[in-house]
Amino acid sequence: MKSVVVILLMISATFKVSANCGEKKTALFFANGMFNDRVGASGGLWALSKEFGQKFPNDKIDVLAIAFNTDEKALLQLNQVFEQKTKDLGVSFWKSVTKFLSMPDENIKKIIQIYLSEQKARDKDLSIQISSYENFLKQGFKIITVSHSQGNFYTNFSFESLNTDQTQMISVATPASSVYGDGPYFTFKTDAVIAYIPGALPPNRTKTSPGIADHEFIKHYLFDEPARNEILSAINLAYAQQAAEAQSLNPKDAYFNSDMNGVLKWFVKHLEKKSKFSNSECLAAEALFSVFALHGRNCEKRDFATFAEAISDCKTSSSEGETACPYYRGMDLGRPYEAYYPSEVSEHLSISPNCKITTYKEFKEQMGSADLLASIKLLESLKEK
Amino acid sequence: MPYIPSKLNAGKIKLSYVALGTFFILAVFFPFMFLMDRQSLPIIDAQLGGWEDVQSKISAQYPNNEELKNAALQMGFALQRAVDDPRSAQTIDAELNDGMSCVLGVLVKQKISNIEAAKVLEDIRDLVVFNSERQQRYIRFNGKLNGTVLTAPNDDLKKCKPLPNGATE
Repeated sequence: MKSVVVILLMISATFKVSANCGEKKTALFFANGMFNDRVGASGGLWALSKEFGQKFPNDKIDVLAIAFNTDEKALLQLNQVFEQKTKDLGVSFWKSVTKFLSMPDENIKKIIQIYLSEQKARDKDLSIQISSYENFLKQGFKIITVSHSQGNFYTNFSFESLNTDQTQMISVATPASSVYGDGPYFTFKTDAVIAYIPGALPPNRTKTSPGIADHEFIKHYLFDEPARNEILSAINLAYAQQAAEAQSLNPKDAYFNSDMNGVLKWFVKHLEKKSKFSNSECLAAEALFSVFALHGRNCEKRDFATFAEAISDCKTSSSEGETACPYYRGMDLGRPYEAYYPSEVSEHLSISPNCKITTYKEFKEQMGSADLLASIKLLESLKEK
Repeated sequence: MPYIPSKLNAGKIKLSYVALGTFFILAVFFPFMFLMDRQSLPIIDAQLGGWEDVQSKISAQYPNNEELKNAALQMGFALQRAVDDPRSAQTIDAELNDGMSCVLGVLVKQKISNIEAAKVLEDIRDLVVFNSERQQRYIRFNGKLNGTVLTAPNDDLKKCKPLPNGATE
C-alpha cells in the first residue's frame, strides 16, 4: 500500500520537471600505480573510456582525468636492479617491469613490499588530488575512480577524506585490504605483483590466457575480454547507482512526464490487485523501470516516447550483447534488480516472478515475437491521451 | 648550570649560538643534502640531446604511414623535451598531452582498436626512452607530476601540430 501511495505521489510530481531540472555531470578518474607512467596511464584511461562509450553509449562521461601517482625513488631503485639484470636484453623498463617483478628474487620482493605497502602510501601528500576532487564535487560532478595497483591506496585515502556519497571506486589489481564504499575489485589469480603483498584483497578473477605477471592495466586487465567487460560493467553500475541516488521517489525529485501517467496508473493497479503479469506485460514493466532509472541526469526524457522506444528496441535487437533493449542491458550487466530500482520493483517481482529474467538464454526461451507485438499493443493502450 | 664568565652577557651567548647554527646549516647541512640528492636521483644539469637519433627511430618505425609518423614525431618531441628537462615537467606535460591526443586521433581515423592504440602510445614512449639515462630522466619527469591531477588525452586531430623550427629532419 505504501508503495502505491509513493507512486501516486510520483505521478503528482510529474509536472515538477523543470523545477528540479539541473545538469548532473560525471567525471571518470584513473588513479594509476607506480609501474604506470604518464603515457601508460593516459593510454589506459583513454582506452577504458572509449570502450565504455562503445558499450554503454547512453552513459555520458563529461570529464576524464588522471590522479597521477608515482614514486621516483622506488622506481630509480628498481630501474637500477632492472638494468643490472637485463643489461644485454635491450628490453623496455616500463613494458617489462611487471614481468621483471615476477622474478623470484628476494631483493625485488623486498622493494615491492616496501613501496607497495599501505604504510608507505600513507606518507604521501594527497592534498592536490583531494582538492581537485573537491573542486569537481563543488561543480556538481559525480566522481567514479578506477584505481590500479598502488593507486588504490591513494583513492581509498582521498575518498575517506572527502567522505561523500558522490564518489565511487572500482579497484583493479589492488594491493589494499579494502575498497572504499565496498566497491568492486578485480585481481587476477596470476597477478604476480599483488601476490607479494600481504594483506591485499585475495585475487578473485582468472585470466583467460594466464601469463607470468598479469599485473598491467592495459596489457593484462584491459586486454582480457572478460575482465575488461567486468570493469566496464562496474563503471556502468557505479554510474547507474549514482542515477538511483539522483532519482529518489521523493516527489520533489521525481520527474516523469505527464504522458507517462497512464503507464504508472497501470502499474499501480497491478500492485494493488496483485495480479500476475503476462509475458508482454513483463516487457512493458521492464521498459517502465528502464525509463525510471535512465542515467541519473536531471532533464533526461522520462517520457512516453522513451518508454515506447525501450520496448521497440527489444523487437529490433537481434544479437546478444545489443544494449538498447532494457532486458538485454540488464542481463548484460548481470545486475540485480534491487540495486537499481525502488522497492516497488521487488514487490512487483514477488507478484510476477516470471518477469525476473536474468540470462539471455531465459529471455530467448521465454519471450517470443508475439509477446513483443502484444507489448507494443499494450503500450499503445496505455498512452494517456 | 655551566660557569659563565661575567664579561659575557646572555645576549652575546645567544648570538654566538645563532652564528654557529647558521654556519652549520650553510656549510654542512645544505651541501650534505645536495650531495644526498645527487646520489639518489639522476643528475639532470645538462640537456641530454639526441633528438636526431630519436627522430630516425620514429621515422623507421612508421615508414609507410606518413600521418602516424608525423603524429608520433610530435609526441616523441614532447617526450624528448621531457627527458631533456624533467624539471619543467608541468609545462612539457601539456605538449605531451597534445602529442598523445594527435596520435590517438590518427589511430582512430585509421580504425585501430582502442587497446592497440593505447599500446602504440607506449611504443612511441619506448622509442624515446630507450636507455638507462633517458629512463632515469623520464622517471624524474614522472616524479615531478606526482600527486597532481592530469588532463587525459583525447583522440583529437586538431591537436596535431608541425614540429617547431629546428626540430625537423
